[in-house]
Amino acid sequence: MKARRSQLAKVADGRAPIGAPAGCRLFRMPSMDMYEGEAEYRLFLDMSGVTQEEVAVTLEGHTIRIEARAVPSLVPGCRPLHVEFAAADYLREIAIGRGVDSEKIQARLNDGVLELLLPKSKAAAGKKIAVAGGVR
Amino acid sequence: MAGGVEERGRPDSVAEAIEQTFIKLDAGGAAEQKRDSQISQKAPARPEPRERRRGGTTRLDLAEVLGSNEAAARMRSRIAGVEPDHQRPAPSSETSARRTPRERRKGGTTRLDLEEVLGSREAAAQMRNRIASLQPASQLKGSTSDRSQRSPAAESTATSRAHVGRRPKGVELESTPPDSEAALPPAADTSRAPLTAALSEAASGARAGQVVLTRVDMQDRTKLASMSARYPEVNIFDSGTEIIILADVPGLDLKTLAVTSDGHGLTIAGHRRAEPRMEGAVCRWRERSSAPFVRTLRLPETVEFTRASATYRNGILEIRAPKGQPVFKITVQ
Repeated sequence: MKARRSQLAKVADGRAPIGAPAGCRLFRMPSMDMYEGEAEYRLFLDMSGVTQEEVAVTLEGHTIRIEARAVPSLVPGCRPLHVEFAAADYLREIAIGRGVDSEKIQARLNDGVLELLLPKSKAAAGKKIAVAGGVR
Repeated sequence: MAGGVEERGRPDSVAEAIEQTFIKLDAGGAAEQKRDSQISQKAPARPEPRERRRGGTTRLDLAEVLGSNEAAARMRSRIAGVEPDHQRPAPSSETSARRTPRERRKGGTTRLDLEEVLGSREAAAQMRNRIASLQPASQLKGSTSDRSQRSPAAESTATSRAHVGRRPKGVELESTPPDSEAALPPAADTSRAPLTAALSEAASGARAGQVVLTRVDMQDRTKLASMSARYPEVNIFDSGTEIIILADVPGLDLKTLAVTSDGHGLTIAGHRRAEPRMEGAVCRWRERSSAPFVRTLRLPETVEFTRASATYRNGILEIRAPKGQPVFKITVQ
């Protein structure tokens, strides 16, 4: 019973993934919704327990890397009775195509939901080619 | 359907219609029957109102069959104990008979008379008494509103109207009282049990000293299996003086959040915010849930929920409830 409690505490702390080799970090992949509007894509990621200072969104080439450090879901000095979610760090990488204007990506964190705004690039909107009539 | 319901709310006109249709059964005397059959042979030649034929029922008007209103009034007065129709003037009864069939047909239903279905007048009378004994209050009131005549049991289930819509539309008994919906087997309504019933049923599995976590759907129990993954995950801690519950609910709409307790368990209900509608936007990828959720936690210790507090920060709902009175010993005398 005691061993199980300490294991629960470790899981809740995000320190010890069950069955993982020592030294491994535990990450959670945040679930995501994507909406496509006329001029932009909007991404919504569930990242509960994350503050604005602890989230980092970086663009590497054509990949957006979202990494966040979660506030431990273990209440210090308290005995865990039941643990379902662990305060693991978040990590997700999203590949973007050439249709996104990578210079104008915006991000906002609100109530544990990270919102990314990816404007569509004008080059990807396509170009209309006028068709001239033949002259004989 | 609406016309039918309204019609059934007027028992006097129903009885009148039955009387007119089955005049031969009631008349009794052989001479009367002969005369009636002679006239009824002539009757089809008479042009009847078009709307009467549309439903496929063969309803004959008394005045039309007998040829005159006076004869109809005389015939009606000979029928004992059905309806005191002789008190009202014959033309008015005729006009009501002309008007009502059209309302009845509006729903496209084929109506059958009780006596026709059951084969005899005695059986029909018995059946009518049985139906009346099921819902005596509605018979006494006799108001035309369908909703007001429902029994309290039928009224309490919000879905009873939906079940009415699902009933086979083709056949309806004409002299059924207006609240025949209540006489349906109650099993039809239990398929969509109220939330409270589902919660109490889930809670009944709790044993003393055990943390029991139940996941109950708000809308329909049949959705339970498919939606269970969307329920908020919770962590429960014991700080010595408090029970601390953390729930993982990112993007929660605080206006919809309700944390309630029945004294034993704690129920968290809410709705995650649906994303703001973008003009012409298409959802291309969906992993998150915005469905309403209910989760009931049964706690292992007595907790004073009246002094509990809750905060919502960064998508984590934290509920702190002080522990209640500890277990005390009862001395055996």
